[in-house]
This record gives sequence, structure tokens and C-alpha cells, in this order.
Amino acid sequence: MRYPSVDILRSIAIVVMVLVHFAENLSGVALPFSGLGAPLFAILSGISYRLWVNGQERREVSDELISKVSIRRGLFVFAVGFAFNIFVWLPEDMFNWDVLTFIGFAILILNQVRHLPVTLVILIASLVFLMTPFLQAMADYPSYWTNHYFEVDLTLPDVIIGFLVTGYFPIFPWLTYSLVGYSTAVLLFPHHLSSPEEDRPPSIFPLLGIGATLLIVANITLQLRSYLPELISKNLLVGWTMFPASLEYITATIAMALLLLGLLHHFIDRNPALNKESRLFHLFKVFSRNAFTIYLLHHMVHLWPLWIYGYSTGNETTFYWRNAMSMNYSMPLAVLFLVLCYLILSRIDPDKRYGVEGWMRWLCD
Amino acid sequence: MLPESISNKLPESAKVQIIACVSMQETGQRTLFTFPASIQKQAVIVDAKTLTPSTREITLLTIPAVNFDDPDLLNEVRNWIEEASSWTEPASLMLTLQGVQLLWSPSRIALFAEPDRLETVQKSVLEVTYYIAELQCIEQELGELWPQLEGDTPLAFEFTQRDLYKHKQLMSRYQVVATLRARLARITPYLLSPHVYPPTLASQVGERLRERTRVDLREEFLSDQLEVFENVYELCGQRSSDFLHTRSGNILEWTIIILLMVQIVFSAFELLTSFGATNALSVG
Repeated sequence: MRYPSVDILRSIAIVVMVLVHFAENLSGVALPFSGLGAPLFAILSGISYRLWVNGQERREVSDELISKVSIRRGLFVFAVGFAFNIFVWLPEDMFNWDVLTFIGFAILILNQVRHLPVTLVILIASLVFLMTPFLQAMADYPSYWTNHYFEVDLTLPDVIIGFLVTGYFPIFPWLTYSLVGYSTAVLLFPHHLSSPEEDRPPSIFPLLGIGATLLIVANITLQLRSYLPELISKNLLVGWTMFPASLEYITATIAMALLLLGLLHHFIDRNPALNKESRLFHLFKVFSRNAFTIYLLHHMVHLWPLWIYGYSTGNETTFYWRNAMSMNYSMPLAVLFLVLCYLILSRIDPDKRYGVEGWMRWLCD
Repeated sequence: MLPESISNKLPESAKVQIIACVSMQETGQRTLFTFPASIQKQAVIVDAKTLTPSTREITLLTIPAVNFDDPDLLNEVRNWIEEASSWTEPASLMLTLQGVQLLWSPSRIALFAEPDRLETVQKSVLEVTYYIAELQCIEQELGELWPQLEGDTPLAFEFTQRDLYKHKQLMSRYQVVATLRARLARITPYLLSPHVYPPTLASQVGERLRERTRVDLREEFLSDQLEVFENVYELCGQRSSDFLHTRSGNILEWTIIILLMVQIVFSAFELLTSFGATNALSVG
């Protein structure tokens, strides 16, 4: 079952990512909303996985087959993540642990936790969240980020440490997002909703309550940080940072996602008066359905010319990275890319295997 | 209520009463018959205007006459009775016994009897009618539950995480079945009671009516059917409760495993970072 709220959120995530990446990689400018797309994307990976499992269970697909397809899908995304690192970020960044390798691994974990009661999934998410600052301290996180980007020696321990804690999107803490998304979907979109006559959809108020509470907690910790002992303010509550993902950042971004999901689900999914076939919803559906493809494409479109131009002018391939053009050009280019994406992708039959999603279904399902 | 074509031909002493079997008698309602203590009901005369769709009422036409012999009128009365009958085949019953004529369906009754016997026969007929109607109601309600039972039967063998949402549903369905069983148990002694000795005309009419409506067999079949429902839902309850017990135990076990894993992750990570440091030193 497709939920417009999930489509809208995924569209927001992908649009934010495209704008942020164009601004950062072409102009070296961090937009005010940078750092909000990836958490949303990670939470949606958990939500989408649960919705997909619900669909499979409704079709009475066997548990074994669900596991097999999940593992194949996880490995596919993980492999595409590696290919993406090699071909887009160039081979020396193969082990930078970008969002795709993380999502691939998260799918493998979600396949395991789907057999557990949701309380345990929430417990695991909380523990991953709480362990993160300690692991970051143990790994000496800043030593991997000397030039404001992740650099790793190609030794096995460092590669594993990067995968677990210090990479761009390491398991600690990013797995928290996927697990939170998964738990949210279990509670908000139960798989039996369409069958029993006496069932009412779950209330969204607990979700909104949790979202609001987390937002308040994140705000309070951000405000109180300067008054706290140095041991805490330097190691535990390190302020609003995405790299490393701080506790406040994770709390606030989870809160944002839960609030947005709750409100959109209430006002859009459960609003029968709304025409879900309108052009606007079609736009969201196109972006949502092709988010994976757009994610790969937008990197290729703006990074490959940069590398080629740098190389062809006799410089290092990454010479123009973050200083290729001003925002006056990079932003219109990002918008143009999004418009072209919509125009092209909306004309493509979703069942045809043109996008990465289609290849994934062909190979894994 | 009664078509004019019939009422015009009836003697003036003929009466049509609407009777309901209620638990609480309202002021102004006349009691015709008080059921035994276990039933806790009274048959009262009610006003047609105060009837609600949920009221199960009986329309009783009483005619103080002996051996009424007007075939056309009898036919018309029979048609009137069958109009409201929920029975299909036969839609009504006709019973003649020692000057008493009874045209009967669960919701409309026409009773022809001598004036001095009318009241006792009427009470007996009303009592039996209530039991038969209740039996029919249980049969109908149980009949509607068969598709649900078929859907729930697999859960009597295996209950999994996917079925967890059905737990409350199964509980309420078991309650419905238990309620039906209780309702049947309440009326069974009166449905299957032995014939009264020495017999009276009223008791004989009641007994004959029970025989004609085959209540003994119907009660037996219904009891068998309820047993099937009870078996399935008892097993479902057992399975779901076993599952919930195991699940809560599992949660505790998993919590311990997860906490141990946290400790292992920290230890392994410490080892990993120390390897990293050693490597860095050796490279340096």
C-alpha cells in the first residue's frame, strides 16, 4: 500500500539532498537545511522496509522468501554503494561509507529485527544511540576528519572502524534512524489494517507526543550545553554536528521526522476528501518511486563534469570540488536537474527496468 | 396490524395483542406471564407505538370460539401469520387439540379456544413461543459465525507474531460463543422438559408445539455446533496465550542477550581501536 505521506517525506529528503549536494560540492556552501535530508532518508529506509514487509505478508509470501529477498536487496544496495563510491567519489574513497552502504547494511539488520517484538527494536535503537558517543571517543573520531572530510588508511581495523563509527554514515549512530523508522511503521501502519472490520487505525498522538518531547529534549540539551561540565559538553553533548552525528542532532532529526510523518499521515493519508491522484501527489510519487535513481544520478551529473574538467585542465581531478561556481549557478542547476528528473521519470513506466529500483526488483525479487 | 378483511369477519370478542418478553416491566404494562426465575423475563402487553426495531415482539390474535369452521377466514389468518414468519418451510404450523385451534409462527399467533380455556392456553403458547424464538435466534446468530470460525481454525493449531492483532478479536469471539452457550443452557430445561403429568389442555398444547417444532433435535444439533465453536476458540485462546507467555519470556531473554552484545561490541571495538593504534605506530 502506498502512503502519500511517505512519498512526500521521501521527496523532501531527495530534494533537500540534491540542493545541499549541489551547493556544497559545486560552491562549497552549506545550506541552512543541510544535514536534514540524510536522517529523513535513513528513517524512511526503516519505514519503507516495514511497509514492504507488510505488503509481502498480506500477499502471504513465506517468511523464508521475505528473508531471501531482503538479504538480496540489502546486498544489492550495499554493492551499489561501493560501486557509487568507486565511480562517483573515485577509488580512493571506496571505503568512505556513504549512505548507500549504510542503507544496504541496515536492510540486512532490519531483516533480522523484524522477527523481534517492537519493544526490543526500540531498545536496540536506544542502545545504538547511547553507545555512539562512547564509541566515537574510543575511536578518536576527530583524527579521521582532519580536513573536514573523512580520510581513512586502507588498513582493516581503520576500514572497520570507519564502517562502524567514523565514516560518513557509520552504523553507530545511523542505525538508530532505520530502527526508529521501522518501529514507527510497525506501530503506525500495522499490516492487518485492511482486513479486520473492527480495527481502527492507530492514533497518531503518541507519535506526535514522542516527536514533540524529543524536540524539546534536543533543544534543552543544546541550550544547556554551555552550562554543563566539560566532560559532558566535549564528549557526550557536543552540539549540533552531523559529522560526528551528535546526540542532539540525532534527537532533533528523529523528532522532526516523527512530527512530519505524524502530521502528514493524519492530514493527508487519513483524509478521504483529498484527491490523491492530483498532479501534486503524482509529482511526489515520481520523486519517491525513483529516489534511489535520483540519488545516484544527481551525484553523477554534478560530480563527473567536475572531475573531468579538473583532469582536463591538468589539475587534480578534485581541484574544482567545492569551488567550481557560485551559488547563483549551482542552485539553478540543482533546480533544473530536479525539473528534468521529473519530466523524464514521470514519462517512464515504473514497471520497466530503467531505474536502479527496477534493476533491484529484477535481480532481487 | 390486522387486515380489515380479517377483523371484519371475526367476533367482537377477538383480540389482537402485541406481546414482548422483557426483563424489566415498565409502568402501565400488563403482565401476561412470568417466566421461571432462571429466565428472568416477563411477557407483557406493549403498545405498538412504543416498539423499537430491536424489540422481539409476538402478535397474538385470540378468538374465543370453539371449532371455528370458516376455511376462507382460516386461510386469511394463516396468510397473515405467514407474512411475518421468518420460517421458510413450513412458514406456519396448524395445531388442533380438543377444541383448541392454533395457527402459529414465531412472531404471529392466532389462537381459537373456549373463553374459559383461552387464558391458560395462551400462557402456555407464549412460554413455548419464547423458548422456540430464542432457540431460533441462537441458531441464526451461530449460523452467521461459521465463516469467522473457518478463518480462525488455523489459529487453533498455530499462533504467530503475525496473528497477534487477532488476540482481542479471538477473545471477543469466544465470549460471543460462550454467551450463546449460556443462552441455550438457560432455555434447554424448558425446551426438553418431560411432559406434565397429569396433563392439562394448556400443557398438551405447549408439548405438541415443542414436538412440532422439533426442539429436541434442534437443541441437540445446536449444542453439537456450539461444541465445535468452543473447541476451536478454546484452542485458539490456549495457543495465543502460550504465544504471549513465550513472547514475554523471549523479550526478557533478548534484553539480556542485547545487553551482553553491547558489552561485546565495546570490548571488540576497544580491541579494534588498539589494533588501529598499533598499525599506525608500526607504519609511522
